[in-house]
Amino acid sequence: MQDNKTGKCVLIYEDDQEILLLCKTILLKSNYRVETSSRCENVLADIEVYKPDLILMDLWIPEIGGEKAVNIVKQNPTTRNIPVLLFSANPDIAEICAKVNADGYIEKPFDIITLRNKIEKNI
Amino acid sequence: MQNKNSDLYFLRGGGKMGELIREKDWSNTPLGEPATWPQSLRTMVGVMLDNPFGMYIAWGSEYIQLYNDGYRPILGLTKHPQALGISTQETFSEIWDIIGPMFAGVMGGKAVGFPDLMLPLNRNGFVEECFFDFSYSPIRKDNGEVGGILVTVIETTEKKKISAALTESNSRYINNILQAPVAMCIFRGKDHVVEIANEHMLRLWGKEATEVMNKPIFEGLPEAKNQGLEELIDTVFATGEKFVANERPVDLPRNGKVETTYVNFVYDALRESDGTISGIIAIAVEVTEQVEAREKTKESHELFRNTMQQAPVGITILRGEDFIAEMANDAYLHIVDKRENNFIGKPLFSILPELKQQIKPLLDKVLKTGEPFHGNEMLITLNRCDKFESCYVDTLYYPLKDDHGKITGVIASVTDVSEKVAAKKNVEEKKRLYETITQNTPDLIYVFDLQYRFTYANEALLKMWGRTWEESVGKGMIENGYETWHAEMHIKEIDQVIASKKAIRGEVSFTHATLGKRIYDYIFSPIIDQDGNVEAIAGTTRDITPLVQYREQVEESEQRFQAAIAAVQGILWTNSARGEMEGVQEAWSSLTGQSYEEYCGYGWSRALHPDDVRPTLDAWNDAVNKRKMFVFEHRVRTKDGTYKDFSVRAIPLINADGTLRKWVGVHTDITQNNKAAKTLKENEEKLTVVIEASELGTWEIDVKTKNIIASERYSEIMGLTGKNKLSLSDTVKRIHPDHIQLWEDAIKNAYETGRLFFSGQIIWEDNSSHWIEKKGKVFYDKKNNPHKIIGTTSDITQIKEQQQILSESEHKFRLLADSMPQHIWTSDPEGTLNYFNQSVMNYSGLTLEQILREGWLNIIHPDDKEENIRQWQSAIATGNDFLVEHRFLRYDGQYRWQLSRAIPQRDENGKIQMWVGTSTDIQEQKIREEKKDEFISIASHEMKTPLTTAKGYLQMLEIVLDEENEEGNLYAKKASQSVNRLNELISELLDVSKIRLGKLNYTITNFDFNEMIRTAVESVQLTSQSHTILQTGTMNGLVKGDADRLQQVVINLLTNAIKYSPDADNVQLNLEQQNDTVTVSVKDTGIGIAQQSLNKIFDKYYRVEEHAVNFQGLGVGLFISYEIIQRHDGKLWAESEPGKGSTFYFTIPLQSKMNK
Repeated sequence: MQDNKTGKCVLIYEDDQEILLLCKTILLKSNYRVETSSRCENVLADIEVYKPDLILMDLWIPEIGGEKAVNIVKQNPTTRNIPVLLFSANPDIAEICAKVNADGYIEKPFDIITLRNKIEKNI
Repeated sequence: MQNKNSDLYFLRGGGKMGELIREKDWSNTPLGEPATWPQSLRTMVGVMLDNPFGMYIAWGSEYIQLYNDGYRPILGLTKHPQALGISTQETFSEIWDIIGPMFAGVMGGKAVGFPDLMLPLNRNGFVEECFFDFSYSPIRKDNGEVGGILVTVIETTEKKKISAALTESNSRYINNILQAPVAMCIFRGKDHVVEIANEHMLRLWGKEATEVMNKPIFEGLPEAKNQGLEELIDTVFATGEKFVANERPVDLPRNGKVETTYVNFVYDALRESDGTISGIIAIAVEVTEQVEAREKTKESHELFRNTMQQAPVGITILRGEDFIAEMANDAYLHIVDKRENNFIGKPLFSILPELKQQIKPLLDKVLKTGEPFHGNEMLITLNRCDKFESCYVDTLYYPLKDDHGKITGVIASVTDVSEKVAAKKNVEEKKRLYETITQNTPDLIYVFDLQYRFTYANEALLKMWGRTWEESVGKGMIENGYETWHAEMHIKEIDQVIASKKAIRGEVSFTHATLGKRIYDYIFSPIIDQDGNVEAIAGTTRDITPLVQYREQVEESEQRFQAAIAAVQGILWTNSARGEMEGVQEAWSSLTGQSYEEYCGYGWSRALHPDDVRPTLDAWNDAVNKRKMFVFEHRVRTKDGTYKDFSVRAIPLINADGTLRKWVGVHTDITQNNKAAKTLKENEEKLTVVIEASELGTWEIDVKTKNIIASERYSEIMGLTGKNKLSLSDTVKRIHPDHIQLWEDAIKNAYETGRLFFSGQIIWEDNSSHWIEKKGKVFYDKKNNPHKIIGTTSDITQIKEQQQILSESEHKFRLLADSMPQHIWTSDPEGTLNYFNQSVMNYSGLTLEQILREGWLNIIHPDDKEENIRQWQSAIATGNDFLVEHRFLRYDGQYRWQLSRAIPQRDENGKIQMWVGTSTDIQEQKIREEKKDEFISIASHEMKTPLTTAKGYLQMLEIVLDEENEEGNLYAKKASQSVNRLNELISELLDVSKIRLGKLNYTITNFDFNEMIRTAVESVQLTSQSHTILQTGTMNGLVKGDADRLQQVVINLLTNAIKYSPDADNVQLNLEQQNDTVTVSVKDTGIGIAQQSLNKIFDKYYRVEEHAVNFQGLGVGLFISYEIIQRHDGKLWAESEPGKGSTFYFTIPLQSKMNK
């Protein structure tokens, strides 16, 4: 599984530890570097630290919620080019995605192949 | 801009219209900036804006419009707000020809008024009939000129309906009187003391304020006495009925003299809050000038008419595009040969259609261009005395213009110059005529000289001979091919004409050169010279062969007629022209047994019934003399000596020469018919008897003796049977003590009005009670004293009992309804709510009167109103049940959810009599539902979190498992399937709660329908090993809608079909495209659905119960599918037979109108 995505960083925001662990496992197997956070209010600081190539953002996440966090990323000129994928069980995810200018979304529960493909396509 | 106008003192008030007027940019209107408006306009606008009544100003020569809030509804939705600041003519173009002249009159300084004008207005969400008093009065500028028109509108609708509202309105009324632009005053009390009178009124009266104020009007204005006004005003005061006078002549003081004036006025009662009348308000407009002007116009009109009538020239006045004859003088009527009453008031060309083609274009041109038309010696054709006659006329059509120069008609003068023209044309025409007629006619025309030689032969004659002019003219008859007998006959006739100087006529048959044997009719006429001698003989010959043939045909048809008569059933006979029977009359003999000797001559009459002989002979002789058809009925003695009834018809047969040939008659036996008629009459008599016996008792009261002569039935009704002699007191004794007064009033009233009516209760001797109704008429003797009352009495006990039952049941209903916690209301078939139970009052805190007056819609939440009105109108229109959820305003200001349902009550013919509605408070229920849906929404989201992990790890497991580990792979796959299924169930739950909250989202695109179906089939097929999905049909092009949601429907239908047909091995999906819709059907051969369940399967959580144990699932799939299809403007339905399977269909438009 060695290819050009080796070493690229995916930053996952997810407050459910099980899901976080699952995603991390899958992405590590695909040779991504994976950083995680269970809170989203410090998103700009996290980016500063981890320099992610893609962000996976849960919607229902403390303290300020994924929607707001994506807004912060997308409105900041230095971070706005980082691809952000929304990540939620919310049935209205498609609409929210369009509203906050996210680059895509992954519905929970997800298919591993879908997760991989979407990340690969956007990173 | 806004500030500028807001600062103007006269634009300060006025609510909504005040706002609109302030905001308007007036600089573009003919009025210009408000700051520049003339003082009188400013004042009127100020007054108008502050005025609660409808007021409207049309200013200047262009009638620029301004109006206040009160006037706005009268303009309706189509004219407001555009009307503000533009010309009246533009706003009311459709009726400008009516109001234009009226406005012009007002601009001339004359006020006009229209009391109680009805306008249908939509002010409360429905159209109602509203009544208004309109008055139009001039607004004068400082220099005294009229600058514009003030229209005041006083709504009288309420006055008609609710006297309670009058108190308030009265006080406003009075305040406005002094400012009113028309003459107004108030009389107080029964002496009509003048309480308030404005300037206009004082001017009308010709009095100073001090002369009349606070005095009874007829004391202050004695000139008005004895003109019938006292009675009028007293009546209004006593009855409260409004009195309206139009152009009533009233003698009033004018410049120190009493003069007759004409006044339009209204007397209306002023009521106190308790309804008593305390005074009268009078509104008046003097119209003397108008009336006099009209009288003068009438006089001048008369004068004109008289002059015109006597003119020797025909004159008619034609109005309008249809040329309605307004008047026509005798000379004109003589020319067109019409009577005045057939001519006046009708369109000219409906009376003289023969002139339309020729004359209408000329009149149209005069009407259009205004240029007069002169016609000299016009040849016209007129229908006179039912014949078309040509005549020559000199005409002048002159346009008639009204005061504004508009052409409204044509005055036509016509002189018949036929004789003059005829004389002039006679000479030349005679010359031409000879040539023209003789050359072109098919008749043979020729001239003989005295030597029997042809000196002229026309074309037709030459053609018949087959010879040329040169060959024939100047030669005799023999030389021209006449046979000798023929020539000799004519020579004799010519001699006769020369001798007698009279024409001779004959008929001859000979052979035509080309047409063969023909029959000719000819006339030889003498041509007399100046000395009176015959100079030549002119002949005309006409081919009458067809005529003769026709004559023969007539004879033939008569013979056929004879044969037809012979075939007629009945006794046929013929009589001579003199009316005597002769010859063999077989039928008559066999009927009567009369021999020839017996019936011949008038002998036949001896076979008639002795009583019928004289009338028969009289009628027969009359018919014979007048040669008219004989129709009669009489009895005939038949052979066996019995008499039978016969109807007789006889017709005269006329010879070709007009002489009477004979009579043909038929006797028809009508004994049977007569019997039927007699039976009918008997039945009718019986019927009358029955009616009398069952219905009405009749009676006759002698006013003096108080005796009653009455029918049997009367005694029965009154419980007086068995009494020989009845008197009035017998009747009175029966009347219930409570109703004695009624009876006495009825009698009293009868003597006054001549009519008796009494309805009341009587008590029989056995103490049983009955209701009766008496109607009668009073008859008077010669001295005009009442001497008899004749009438009827009917028993109305049953009707009264019914009424009683009805009112009791009504009472019971109200009692019941009022004790119910639910809101109950009723409406008439047109949808007007007319009853609300106590619960509605308790809930809303309003009184019944408030609800009825202000409308029940006021308590409905503004957001629910529109839908409510829509649903209610639809229920009224279709007769379907009304069912709606909406919020009502409670007395404490809280809106609470209600479920309202109304059901139509129908009579036996299915016609809706009324609607009964209930509204149930579902606020708690609603909140519980919302909480539950919210809970489901959160719970399902939470459940998805562990599900996500489970699914992820299962997939991971599948990846890491060795391919050879078949068992492990199978378990992982099964676990995955269960997780997917669980995910679907949670999604469904979420969808249901979203549908309830109306939050289900749709993503609308134009998508490939075939592709959507294909992937749905594929994904279902993947999960099913037991069934094969057979797909038929495809469609072209794209469909607009939510592809995912529609796919959800297809998948739902397919999985259901598989689930409910466990023993089958296939399900069928069919796709069909109609014009602009597509239909998908999914058919299974499974367990099917019972008929009674078919309409419930689309409900939430419904599952076919008896199978619930065998089949899993929440049963919400179809509910969601139904919702999705409905949102696509489509239809989802099912057909099924238990045990045989079901077919589910849905149809959606290719281009659904849905947006979100």
